[in-house]
Amino acid sequence: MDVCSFVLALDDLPAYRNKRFHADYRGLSFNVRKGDTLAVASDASFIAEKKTDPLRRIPSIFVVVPNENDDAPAMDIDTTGHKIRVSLSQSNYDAYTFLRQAQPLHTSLNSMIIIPALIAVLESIKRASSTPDGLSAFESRRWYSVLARRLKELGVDPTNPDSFSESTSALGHKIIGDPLTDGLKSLRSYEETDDDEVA
Amino acid sequence: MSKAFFLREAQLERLRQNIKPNATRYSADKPWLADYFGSDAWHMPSNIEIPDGIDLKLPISKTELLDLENTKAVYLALKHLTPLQASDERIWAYLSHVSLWDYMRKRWPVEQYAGKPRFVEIVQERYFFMPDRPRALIRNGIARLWWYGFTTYDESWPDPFELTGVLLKNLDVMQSISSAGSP
Repeated sequence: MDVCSFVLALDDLPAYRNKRFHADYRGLSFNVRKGDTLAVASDASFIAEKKTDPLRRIPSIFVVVPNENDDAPAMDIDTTGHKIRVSLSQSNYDAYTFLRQAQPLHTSLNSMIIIPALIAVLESIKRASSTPDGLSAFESRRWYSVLARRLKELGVDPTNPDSFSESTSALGHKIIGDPLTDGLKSLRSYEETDDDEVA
Repeated sequence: MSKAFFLREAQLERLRQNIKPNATRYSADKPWLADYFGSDAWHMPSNIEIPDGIDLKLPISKTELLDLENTKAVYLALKHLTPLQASDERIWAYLSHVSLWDYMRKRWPVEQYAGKPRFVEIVQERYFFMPDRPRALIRNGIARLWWYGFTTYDESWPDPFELTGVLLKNLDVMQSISSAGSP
């Protein structure tokens, strides 16, 4: 939010003069009308955090979309909006939406898609925090507020690169709730079930 | 009156991601989102009341854009919006892409930028909100009209839109100066 403060005349002030006018205007008077601006303060700005932000939960800060460009990379991320947009090539996106229908595969999909995206974002936060004003572009984005809050809960100050005592890979898995371990377990049980069926 | 629709977030992001491959669609005569999204649920009704049709005047020429008339039409139709609701990209993206498509095509034709580096930026600016731009609200082709009305409409004046006219005239001057200086 940008806050701009003004002093306005509440009433008409015919022949308004002030002893504290700048020397250039000393002795002069002005016909001030109701609503005219008499003074302007310095602007201030702050980030207004929503109390009931639907993006507060970590999974809500990601959105996965298809990239319909012919030369689309297998996966890419864009962090310029309020959500982290993960784009997949059309064939990868089709496979993703098909596999997402199976609940047991969600953790594996998160490991393959959300975790790498999150690690890339954490790396960019860490990099930005090491330069003056580096984080200012992120601060107005809602995904950043959510991640910064979660990092602080894990004892990491996102504004201080030295406080990243663990690797961004380790942090990413902690933030999402270690989908790798669950994902591997579920793939293993899937494989074992398959073997049993063959046997 | 009926409920205003808005674009669902995931579909809005999909559209934003794919501005470039959708370049020819942005030159289409008719709205195309229903065909594009197919059976996906891509829009939802909000709690906001909206007249069944907002009658926007199409620009007559490059100098007669009728922004004042259209500001009146959009603001009077949606005067009950709160600033928070009017800052929601999903509503304006729906109006820009669907309900007020004919106006958008005439007022902000984007085909002249097709194949050029700025194409994505121009579409993003007029049909969506530009991220990280404080002026995004007055760059979207429809939201700008509402915000011009919101900041200037004053019922205590004989003509409540008198200040809107002043604002738009000043914007014209600013635009003339800046376009005179650009290549």
